Formats: sequence, structure tokens, C-alpha cells
Amino acid sequence: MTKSNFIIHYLLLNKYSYLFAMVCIFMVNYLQVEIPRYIQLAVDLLDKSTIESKASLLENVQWVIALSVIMVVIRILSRMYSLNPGRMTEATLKNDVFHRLNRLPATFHERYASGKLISIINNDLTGIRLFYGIGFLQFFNILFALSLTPIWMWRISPQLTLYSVVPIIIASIIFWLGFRKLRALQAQRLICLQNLSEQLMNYLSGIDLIKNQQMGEWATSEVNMINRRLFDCTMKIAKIQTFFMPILDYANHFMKVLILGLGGYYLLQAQLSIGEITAFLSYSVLLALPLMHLGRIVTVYQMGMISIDSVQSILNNEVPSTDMLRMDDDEKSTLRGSTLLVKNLSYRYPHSKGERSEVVLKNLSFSIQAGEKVGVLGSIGSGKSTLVNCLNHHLSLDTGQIFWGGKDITQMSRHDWRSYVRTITQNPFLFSDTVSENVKFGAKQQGQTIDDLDVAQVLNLSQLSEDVQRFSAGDQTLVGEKGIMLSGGQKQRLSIARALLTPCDLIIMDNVLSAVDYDTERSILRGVFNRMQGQSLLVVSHRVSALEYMDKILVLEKGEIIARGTHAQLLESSSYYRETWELQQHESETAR
Amino acid sequence: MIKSLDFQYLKHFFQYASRYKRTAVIGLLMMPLSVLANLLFPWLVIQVIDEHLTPGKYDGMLMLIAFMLLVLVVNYIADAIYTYCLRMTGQKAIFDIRMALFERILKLPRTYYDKTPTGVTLSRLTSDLEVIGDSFVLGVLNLVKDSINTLAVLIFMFFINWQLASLVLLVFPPVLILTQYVRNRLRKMYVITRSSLAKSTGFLQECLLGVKTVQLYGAETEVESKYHRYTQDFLRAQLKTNKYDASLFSIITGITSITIGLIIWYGSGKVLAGVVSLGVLIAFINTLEKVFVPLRDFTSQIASIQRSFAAFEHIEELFVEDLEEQGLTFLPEELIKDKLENFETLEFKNVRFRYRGTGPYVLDDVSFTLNKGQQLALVGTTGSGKSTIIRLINKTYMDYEGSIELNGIELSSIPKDSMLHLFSLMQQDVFLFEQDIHFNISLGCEEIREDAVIDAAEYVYAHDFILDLADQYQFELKNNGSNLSAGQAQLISFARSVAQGGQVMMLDEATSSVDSITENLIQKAIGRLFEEKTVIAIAHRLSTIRHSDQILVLNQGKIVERGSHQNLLAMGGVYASLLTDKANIEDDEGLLLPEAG
Repeated sequence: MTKSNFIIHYLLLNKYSYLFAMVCIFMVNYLQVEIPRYIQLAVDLLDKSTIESKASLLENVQWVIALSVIMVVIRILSRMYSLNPGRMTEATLKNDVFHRLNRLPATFHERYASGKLISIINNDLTGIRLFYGIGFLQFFNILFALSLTPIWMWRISPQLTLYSVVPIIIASIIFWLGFRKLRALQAQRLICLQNLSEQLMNYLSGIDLIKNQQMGEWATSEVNMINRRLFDCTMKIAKIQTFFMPILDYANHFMKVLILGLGGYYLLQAQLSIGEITAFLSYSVLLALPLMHLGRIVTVYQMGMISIDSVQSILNNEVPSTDMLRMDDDEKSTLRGSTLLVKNLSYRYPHSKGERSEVVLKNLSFSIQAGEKVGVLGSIGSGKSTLVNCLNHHLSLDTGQIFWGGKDITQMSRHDWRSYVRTITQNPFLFSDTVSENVKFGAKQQGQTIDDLDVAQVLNLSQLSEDVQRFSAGDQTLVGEKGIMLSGGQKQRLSIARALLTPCDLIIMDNVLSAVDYDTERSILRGVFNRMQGQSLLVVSHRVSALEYMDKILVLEKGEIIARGTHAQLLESSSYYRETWELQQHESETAR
Repeated sequence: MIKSLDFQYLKHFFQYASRYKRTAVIGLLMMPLSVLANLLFPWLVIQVIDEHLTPGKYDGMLMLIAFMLLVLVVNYIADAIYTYCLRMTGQKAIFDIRMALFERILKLPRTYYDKTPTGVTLSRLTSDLEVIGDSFVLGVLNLVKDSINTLAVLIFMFFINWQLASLVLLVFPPVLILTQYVRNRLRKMYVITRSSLAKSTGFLQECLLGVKTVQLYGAETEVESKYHRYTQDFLRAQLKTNKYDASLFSIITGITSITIGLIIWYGSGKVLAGVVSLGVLIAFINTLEKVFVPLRDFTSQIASIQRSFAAFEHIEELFVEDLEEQGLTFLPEELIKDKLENFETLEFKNVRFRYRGTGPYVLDDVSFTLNKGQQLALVGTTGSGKSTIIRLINKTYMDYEGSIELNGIELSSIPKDSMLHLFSLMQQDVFLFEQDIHFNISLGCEEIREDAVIDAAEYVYAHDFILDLADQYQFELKNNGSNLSAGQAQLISFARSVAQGGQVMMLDEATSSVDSITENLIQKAIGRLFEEKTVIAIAHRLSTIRHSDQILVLNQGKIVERGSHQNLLAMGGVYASLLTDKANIEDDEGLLLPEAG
């Protein structure tokens, strides 16, 4: 979507509201210039003593009051109906952006840190809200005020209009110069503030280390430096705001002096009445005010444009067309319990700055039959996690490499594919909710009805029940931000329980047992085996102990399968496997 | 109105601001000048109309006009200096508060961080202080100026013509009641918007951090429906706020012209009777803006000041949060300094500990002694309390029961800074600074030079992979080492603890997610450490600990067995069964036979 299409699309969402607001804004501005006219008439009648003049003075005063009351009502409507669409656009966009973010693949999320995305949704959407709300209101307010007021002034006295506009124009120019400088500084300040946040966040996450290593002084001096920069920038802004920006306001007063002096001169020559001077004084305010607001609307406009760019940087990322596909139920059920076939799978990470990108996976071929248990052994950097992220289609793949029941997984949507395959990642992510809600995560969508018994069962299988029973609130215990209340091992076991709850065809465990001891590891694997009925399992690990019971083990080294077979076969055939196994056995060997 | 409690929160702010009294005083001295100029202007308007325009006298009018211009210039300068000086005072105070808070944060105990998400602490130092700068400083500044000016204008009005002034005053009560009512409504709405926004942002943050999980579990619509609810709540409150805002704004703007009508009406008879001059009437009409606009702004100024009270409250929380070593009495520095130069012994006597006052004990009756040159290994299942022992030793947690003596001195009477140099800790969770590798190993400590860093890296076999990186030791780490593999990050963290050169090495599950080959290298390095240093180790790998002088087997916070590797095996208890269990898995093929009973 182009930018103008975007702007128009969201403007049209609230077109009736805007239309009504526009009519109201015009009426408010019309009344605003009309009321001083009645004041003028009344003032000129003040020193007349005839009966008619008194009656007509009263009539004029009544007009002033009546019109003022009407203006109040219409102004309320104009503000409500022009500001509400801003809020509604904001809410709609929030949902739209979130919807898109949820569906964009890993390639997108790797490029954008989540902090950046949140800042777009929080800050840039504020910019857009102002653009669609106050921006609209002020634009038409200024447009109508600046076009109506001079006409009414001109009607009274063309000369005085021309003279009195001069100081306003000069002041406007000064105001604008200051204003431009101010905006540049405000942008600079925002960067200072961001740097400060990032730095503080960094130190806060490493607070234990900083304290233990007594690096407090170093950290304080770094923070002091950034804090100083922020202060300097803030004061520069203050200088402009206090010395430059009020110029326009004083120009308005200056204009009043001019009207009195010059208007007085015309009055003495009987070209103007005292009432007309009064009206002129009122108009001078009506002229200066919109000019002051003009600065604001330019800011709103520019912020809006920048914000729209940021939001579009998200919304213009199309969800891959294959991810929009949905299988029908027939196709879905025929593919249940299929065989996973990996054919000459190669993968290299797309690199940003022309760095050498190494092939991480080279020509892997293997299959996992329905119900088969396959292990992958490899050291760090061997490509284990990359393999897992290819299999579950987290990474973007070329076609023709991975098949499920004969269907290329790149030809089905990720959403559909993941109803077959369930991954337990190395670093489990938990939501700050209860244990029970975390286990049920993702199950609601599958239309599955879950009762507490199911939850208890999977917790038991993943060896977490005992821990949960010890928690004060059982499975209603809150796990805290990212599961901070749980130990590394508990988090991993909770994520296993979560994966076991919803039935699927293939479970992938990516090095999930690293933070639990051997004893627990064994019990968990037993639990998983028991739960599985016809389900396939792929366990990735650097521990041989986790893999021994697999039907088949692939040994991965530098992205290639260097050996495959059962545990017994590999001990014979693969020196790497044997070496690793012996290293890990070493402990128990010398333990005797 | 403003509660008395609220003023308590301002205490710290004014304390910091009072350091810059001089700037503030200069600013405040401008105030009378500004008020005077502000009143002279309408007075001169009256003079021009009544003395010159009405009688049709042109002589001397130019002088008056020139004087009016002078008044304007004085008003401009006085106003600008007033605002600038007071803003400067406020910003300087905020600068100091930020530094003071950061220094406090560095001294807060672990228990604070356990209960407070980092985002919250961060917002204290950033957004809360921003609110104070924007809402409080500017709000108070304008409030003071506006109220003094408005009051002065009112008095001036009474002075000129009390009847007309009374008429203006008559409009005040309904306006005040209205603004008060709307303000209350707005405040309620504000609370709702704040909390619904916080909830939705929190949830959003979680979903984005866990977007991989959301996608892998196909939970997109599940999280969206929850998010939509938050957005809807927020919107509903916002629309209501808009309604009140619009009404308040419009009514106050309208009241000016209504009052103008009333003044003319009332004045109509008086002008003829000569009670009120035309100049006074026109001056009144033109000055009304100066009374009613501040009246409207009062509400928003007070609202913004009140909004800032929430920020003050947050900051105050940090100011009163107990510091790590607050209220504790320590032995005097000179008394312990010599004794703590080198590590001699560490003794736990009947130590009990729990994280929360009412929670279960994570350590229960733990006693052991570690002498210089010895190695102590902690064994047990997850959650048995192994890590807690290390956290007690480096004073991450302090409220233990029983006694822990370091070189014969009770640990609780030693300030943290005096004993930390004795220990080097390799933590379970690796933390890396967004600096280069050199910094991450030396931690900015100038005594640790280039060669010492390389030595440390070689010691843990990290040197080779570092040389393979683009800038080698100057390679900049990002985002807690996300541009390294997990194993590499651990190696850096390990090299760091070696480089820091503490006499006692504390290893907390040091080798868990490194592959076997690399792990073997680390094992060798640890072996070297075991020969040269005093070590306390938690590890899953028994090879790491089998040469320890003493092994403690923990279960649910209690030491269930203790002794050397050989002794424990001979005992045939928990430790032995831990080994046989492993053996059961690993000896499936029957290839390995027990070496010795």
C-alpha cells in the first residue's frame, strides 16, 4: 500500500464523522467572527440615549449571548467528532499491526528487535492518532479562521487590516525559524533518551555482575555522560521555547497597540468608530491564535508522516502467500500420521553486510516414519538448531527439500504445518500467567476442550507435578515475566508439558534437557515415550544419554550427517560418536 | 484538592532543587516585573481611550503608545527569564535525581530485583522522570505565573471598577464547579486508561518476545482476541475522556463572549451616566481572556501536576527501598582489612535460609568448612539448594540464620565490598556487555592488561575461536552476546572469571549446554583450577567434582551425605545411587565395569 493509499484508507474509515466535524468547524469559525460584529454594534450604541438605540443595543447583546451559547454546543460537537476518529484509527491500527506481526515469518522478526516494534506501536501510533485527530481539527480550524477573519477585518477597514498584519507576519517568520530549530533539537533529544534507556536496560540486566565485580563507578560514569547529554539538549530546547516561541504572542499585543494608535488616528478623522476598534482588537486575537497553532499542526503533520512510515515498515511486509493458504479438513486428515522426508536439505543464513555466509546445513537427507523416534547428536555449531528451525519452517526455505506425506511443506501455510509438528525450543518462552494457562497455551485455538485433568496429566509426564504441588498456589501459581519464578529446568519441563497437551504428529525436542540432571532427563523421556501413540519424535541433543533409546540416530558435524544408525551400530561405525560417548561415559567409568 | 500525602512525595525533589537556589531566585525575582507590566498594559489602554480617543485629543497619545511598547518589551524579557531559570532549576534537579537513583539501584539487594521486573525499574529512571520534567516542572511554573497574574488582574479590575469586576466574579462559581466536576471525571478516566494501556503494552511485549512460540504453537488468534479486548477497553475510556475534554474546552472559550455580552448590557446605562468610562469597558472586554483562559488552563495544569504525583510516588518508592547493606552494622574497615587480604577458611554452621519470610526453607541446617586450597563440590537434583549456597557466600542474599564465617569473621558483619575480591563467580546465566570481547573479559579493570586477557582466554580454550572472529578481541558483542553461540558466550564468561583472579573460584553449573568436545576442554581447564585454587563447584558432570576434597550431597536444602568421592561411594547411599542410576542409562551395553568399589 502506498503512503497516500494508507492515509486515505484510514481517513475513509471514519468519513461520516469527519464530514460532520468539518461542517461544525466551519460553523464555529463563522460564529467566532460574527460575534465581534454584534459586540461592535453594541459598543457603538453605548453612548446613544434614544429609546430605539437602547432597544437595539439590548437586541445586539442578546445576539452575542445566544450565538455564544450555540457556538459552545457546536464546538463540543466539532471537537468530539474530529478527535474521536483519531482514537479509533489508533485502535484499529494497533489491532492491524499486531495481526500482521503475528503472521510475519522469522526473517522479519530477526530484522526488528521487539523493543523497536513496541516503540512503533506505542509511540508512532500516538503520532498517527494526533494526525488523524487533532491534526484534522486544527487544519480546518486554521483554514477557516485564516480565511474568514481577514475578510471581516477588511470589511471594517482595509488600511488598518494591512498595517496590523505586518507585525504578525514578521513575528511568524521569527517563530518559524525558532520552530524549525526546535524540531531538530527535539529529534535529537529523543535519541538521547533512547540511548539512555538502552544503556540503563543493559546495566539492569547485568546488575548482579556489576555489583559482584564492583563496576558501579564505571557504570555510573557512563550513565552520567549520557544523562549530561540529555540535560544539555533539554536546556537548548528550553531556551528556544522561552525566548523564541512567545514572540508571536507578543506580536499580538504589539498589534493591539498598533490598532489603538493607528485606529485612534482614523477614529479622530472619523473614519472608524470605537466599536469597530473593539471588534478589531478581538479579530487580532483570532488571527494570531491560528498562526500559533500552525506550528503545532506542522509538527503533527510531520510526526504523522514519520509515524506512518514506521507503521508501514511493518504493514508493507506481506505475509508470504503460502502462509495465507488453509487446508480443508479432508486434506488435513489425509496428511495425519504421514512420513517426514528430508531430501538434500541445504541451508545458509542470509547475511546482511556482505559477510561470508557459510553453508550451515549441507545436503541432509533422512526420513522419519510415523511413530519413529529419531535422535540427532552434534556439538555446538554443528547445525542442530538450524536443522530444527528448518524442519518446523521457522526459517524460510527453498522449495523441494522437506516433504510431509509427499507434500512440500513450503507449499502449505506455516499455520497448517504446525498443527502437525510441535517444537520444544531450547530456550522456552513462557507467558507471565499461571502454570496452567501456560500449559494450555495454543490449545484453545485447536478447538480442543481441556480440563484440569489433562493439565495435571501432562505436568506429571514432564516430571513437573511434584514441583507444582510444592508451589503455594499449585498450577494457578503465576510464573512471572518470562517465567522468572521458575528455575531453568522447571521452565524446560513446563514447555514440554505444553507441547504434550495438544496432540500432533511429530514432536521435536531441541536440546531441551540441558538444564535438568540425568535422573530427571530419563524420567521425562520415559514420560514422553509413554504419551506418544503413533507420534514421531525427533530429539536433538549433545548428550548421548538422551539419544540411546532412539530408533535411529543421526550424527551431525559441521552441517553434514557424518554417521547414522542405532546406538549400537554407531558405537561400531562412528569414531566421533564413540569418542563423545566415551567422554560422557568417562565420569561413570571412573566413578567406580 | 491536593492531598497532604502528595506533598510528602515532593520532598526529595525540592531537596535536590534547593541546590540550585540561586538560579531559582533570579527567576522568581522577575515575577513582580512581569506582573506589573501585565497590569500596566490594560491601564494604558484605558488612558488611550478615555484621555485621547473619546475626547478626540491627539496630543501626547504617541507618548502613551511608545510607553505601551516599552511595557511589552519588559514583559517579554521578564517572562522569558522567569521561565528559563525555573526550568533550568527543575532540569538540574532531575539530572541529580537520575544519578542518585542510579547509584541507589546499584546498591539494591537481589530481593528487590526478584520482585521487580527490569522494565519497571527502567521506567523509574526514564519515563517517570520525563513526566516530572514535562508535567510537574512546566505545570508548576505556569500555574504559579498564571495564578499570580490572574489574581493581580482581578484586583486591578476591582480597583478600576468594582461593579464590573463583581459581574466578572459572578461568572466564576459556575465555571469553577464545572471544571472541578470535569476534572474529577477526567482523573477517573485517566486511571483507567493508564492501567489498560499498561496491560496491553505488557501483553504486547510478551507476545513479541515470544512470537516464535506463538507461531510454533499456532496461537495467533488466541493472543489476538486477548489483545483486542485490551485495545477496546483503552478506546472506550479514551472516547469518554474526549467528551469531557471537548466540553470543558468549549464552555470556557464560550464563557468569555457570554461575559462580554453581560458587561456591555450592564455597562450600557452606566456609560451614559458617566459611572463607567468607555475605556474601562473596552479594557474589561479585552482583559477577560486573561482571566478565563488561565481558569481553563488551571484544570489541565493541576491535572498534569497530579499526573506527575504518580511519577513522584514511583520515585519515592525507589528512594525508600532498603539498600542492600542499609541498617546493618559492620565491623570497622581497618579491623577486617588485613584479615581479608587472603582467603583462609569459610565455615557454614547450621545455616538455614529462605527467600521469603514465610516460604519454605531452601537451606536447612547446612554446615561445612572449606579451607584454603581445598575443593568443595555441591551435588543434588535441581532445586536442592546448591545455587543458594553460592548466593549466600557472595552476599547476593543476606538474611541467613545460623552462622557463616569467612576467615573467622561472621559474613554478615563484613561489608560486601571488602570481601568480593576473594571470589570469582562463573554464573549459570551468562551476561555480556555490549562492548568488545576484551572489555567483557577484563570488565574495564585497568589492571587486567591485554596479555592477561589473552592468557585467561587461552586458559579456557576460548582464544582460538576469538581469533577467528572479525575483530578478534575487539569484536563488539551485541544484545547479550547474541552474535556468539551459546557455548562461545559461556567461554567468554568463563575467561572473565579466570581473568578477574579471585582466590576462590565459584562455578555454578558451568558446563551445562556446551557440547562434549568443548566441555572436555573446559574440564581440563577446571582441572588446572582445582590444582591451583580454592574451588566451590556445582556441576552435573561428575568428572568435574570427583577430585574434590569434600562433596556435599544436598536434597531439598539438607545435606544428606558428605565426604570424599571414595567415601561416598563406599557408603552406598544417595551419591552412589546417583552414579549407578547414570550407569544404568549409560552402561546399557554392559561395556563398562565398575573400576573400584
